[in-house]
Amino acid sequence: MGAYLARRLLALIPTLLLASIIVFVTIRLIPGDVIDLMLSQNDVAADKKSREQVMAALGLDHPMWLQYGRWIAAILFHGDLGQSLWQNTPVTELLAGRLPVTFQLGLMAMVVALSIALPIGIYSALRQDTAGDYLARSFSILLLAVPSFWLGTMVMVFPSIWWGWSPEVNYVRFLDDPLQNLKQMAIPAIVLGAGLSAITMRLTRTMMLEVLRQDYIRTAWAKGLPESLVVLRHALRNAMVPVVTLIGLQAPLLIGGAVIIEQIFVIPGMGLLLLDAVNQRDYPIITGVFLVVGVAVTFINLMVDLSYGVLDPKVRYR
Amino acid sequence: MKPPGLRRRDATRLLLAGALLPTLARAQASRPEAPKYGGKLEIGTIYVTLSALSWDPADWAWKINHDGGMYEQLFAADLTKSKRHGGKHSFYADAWIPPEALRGELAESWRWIDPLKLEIKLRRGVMFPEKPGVMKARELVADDVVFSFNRLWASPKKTAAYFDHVRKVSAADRHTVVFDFAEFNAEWDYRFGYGYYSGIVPKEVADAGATNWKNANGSGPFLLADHTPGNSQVYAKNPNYWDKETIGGTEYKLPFVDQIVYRTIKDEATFITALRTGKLDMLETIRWQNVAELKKNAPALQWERSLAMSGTFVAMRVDQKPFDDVRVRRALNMAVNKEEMIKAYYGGNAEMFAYPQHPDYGGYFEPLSAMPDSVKELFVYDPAKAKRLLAEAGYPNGFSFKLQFTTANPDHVDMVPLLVAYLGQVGVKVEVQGMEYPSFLSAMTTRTNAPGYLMNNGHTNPMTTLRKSFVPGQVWNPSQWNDPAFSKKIDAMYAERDEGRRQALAREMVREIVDKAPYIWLPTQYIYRAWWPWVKNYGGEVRAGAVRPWPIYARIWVDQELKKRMGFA
Repeated sequence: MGAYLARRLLALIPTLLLASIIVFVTIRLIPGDVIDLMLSQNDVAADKKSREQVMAALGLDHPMWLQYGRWIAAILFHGDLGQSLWQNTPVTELLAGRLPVTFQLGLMAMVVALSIALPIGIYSALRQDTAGDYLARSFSILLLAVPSFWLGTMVMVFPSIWWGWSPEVNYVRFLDDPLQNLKQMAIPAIVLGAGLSAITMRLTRTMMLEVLRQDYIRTAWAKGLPESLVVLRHALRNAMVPVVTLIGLQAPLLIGGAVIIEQIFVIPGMGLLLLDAVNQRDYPIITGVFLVVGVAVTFINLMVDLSYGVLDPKVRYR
Repeated sequence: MKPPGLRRRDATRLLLAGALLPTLARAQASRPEAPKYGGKLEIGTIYVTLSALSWDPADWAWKINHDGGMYEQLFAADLTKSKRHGGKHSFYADAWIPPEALRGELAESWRWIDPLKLEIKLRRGVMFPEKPGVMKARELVADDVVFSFNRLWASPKKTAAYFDHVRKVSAADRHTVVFDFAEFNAEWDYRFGYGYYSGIVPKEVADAGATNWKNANGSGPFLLADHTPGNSQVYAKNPNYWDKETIGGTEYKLPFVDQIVYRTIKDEATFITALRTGKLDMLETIRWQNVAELKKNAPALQWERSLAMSGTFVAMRVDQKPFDDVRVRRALNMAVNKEEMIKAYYGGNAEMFAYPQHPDYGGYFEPLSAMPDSVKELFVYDPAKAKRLLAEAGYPNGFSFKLQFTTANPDHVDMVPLLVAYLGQVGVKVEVQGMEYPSFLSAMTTRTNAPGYLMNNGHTNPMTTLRKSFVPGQVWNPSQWNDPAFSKKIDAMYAERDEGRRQALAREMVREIVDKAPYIWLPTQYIYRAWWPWVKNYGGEVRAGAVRPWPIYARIWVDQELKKRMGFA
């Protein structure tokens, strides 16, 4: 297990390095650079010297390989992701403010997704081809068909027209007022989680159906074990391996979805930070966000891989 | 027939009261309410979708003036000249204060010592408040103005040409600043007096790090108290603020409200909803598409509207064929049914002619009705004449060209199919390319934009609107207009000291440039703003300097009892 973990962690290094090069280079190669944006603000033509001065001030006057080398060295040796080109604020400081917000939203959305998906998926499998099963499957298709940005907009707009109520737009930090924070985050988490629950629900049902037809389950029923024990201990645990894999694969989707949900519900997370940074071509923020997201996604997938051993004792790490 | 029990005398009284009612109501309305202090004002500003870009004027980020409620400037708008007070100004322009409405903010008085030397006497007793860890309370003095200018000038992020006309800024004494100019520039008052980067920053703040919002401190009406990027900026009242407001003959110390909250909301449906439910007390930018619904579901909202401070047009690159031929450019103008666009596309919420000069610019603006016939005909739908002109120019079967637009502008996304259809009717095929905003902007700034370029371009002010778009080498020149004679006229306008003659020059240039049609001139839409009735001493003014609302917000008071009575507290 220890050797396996070490190998997996080592394997992360080239993955992240490659990802960082791709992000670092592509964002600088796409049309519309930060200098153009900055110099277009003043309604006054900027001469070549002004342009060169701004480039030098932002550290963009060196060849790209040198910029990358300095950036990666600063991360490795100082944990420094650079400074925002517009705000002159350390990227680590910006991320430290935003990461917990998106992490909380993602976590709550995942809890919502699993709270919907697992019970309904299990119920649907146990009551296959009954009215309840049809209803559950229709519900999952409905959730799949409704994009979260549309659902979010509807939740935002219609209650305000019907009842004069709308979700809170004033973000309160969890540490300042946990209850208020949870109240504010609940609706976006439900909207984000609802979309994610559909696939998990359908996979849970499929896997449960497969496992429930296995001989050892039949034996368990024959031994007269209660349904809860058969389902939860013998069936569900085995059915969960692909479901957990799916949950791991949904992590990037969760972050992608957060961009839209944060925008609709005015949640100051990484999604909004990234959106602004892309629009302003704030390279250090963009690369910083992608690096953090990359680390998070690979870490989540590592956790998923490690969880196989817990769920299925037959799995061995070598 | 009289109602039962109503005697002749009662009926007479009733009639009398009925006749007097409007007069009484007028008297009531003209008597201003006594303001109340306290409360919080939640604002979706005109830039509601954007967080602060920077907290330091020396970063040369345009939005600092909008966000920096703690920094004051030499000049600001005299809001007593607003329409609400019987004046003629709406104070909606991006960065223009009409000369007759220019008042000293930090400047108490100013005079030209010689043609290139301006002396400004500063107001005495204006204080920077104490900011623990940053500075002790002290008076704002001439050295602070000099320091702020020199710091701006020394910034590596500066655009050098912005202050080309300034030779030196110095302090003659503790309360006197002298500007030495290298040449007269008609924008002298705007460029540093009330411009985008003209906030007076104390040295202590610069030393502590002006980019860090926690260090920000100035003499303005509000001080930055909290900042959650992507969500809100909270400003607390500066208890030592110097300015006053006279209401009903009584002088009141400003500001009235305890707290201003800027909400940053990117999603249009969300900020409209926030206004509808009273989570925003006022919203300064509402597209006309949302107005009818809001008026229906929130009938108590107060409204004001202005023609957008940016023109909408399709720029045609005059340095490339076929748009190097004025007949082609004029033909395309005639091929678009602008009257129909106003009625059917904008639902009547637009005007035919408000660019490149805005009706709010007084003497600089000349209405379409006063223009020569050759200009007027560009705004009349005449596809037959358009086809004739195209044939004359050698394109009897039309031609095709590429049109770039930004998908960041929902209006443009909707408008493109309409334009394609109009031009198609005269045989001109359009290949459209939607682009995300930075790429779109970069195409123009690097002069690699397509022959057709649909955009909005802000006026800034009556002179900049002409210079920035029709002088070679300027950033906002998507048609690549390059006419040395026209450039000379621009220079002459900037060098002209007399406002009347400057206006005449501008009017003449507008006639010329519109006639030469480097753009397909499109209608300008109205932008609305709305506020709840508890927002008092306000009439929809938006800017009292270059994108700077703070003198306006300082004068607003909130009727908290009314808000409560209306069920929004």
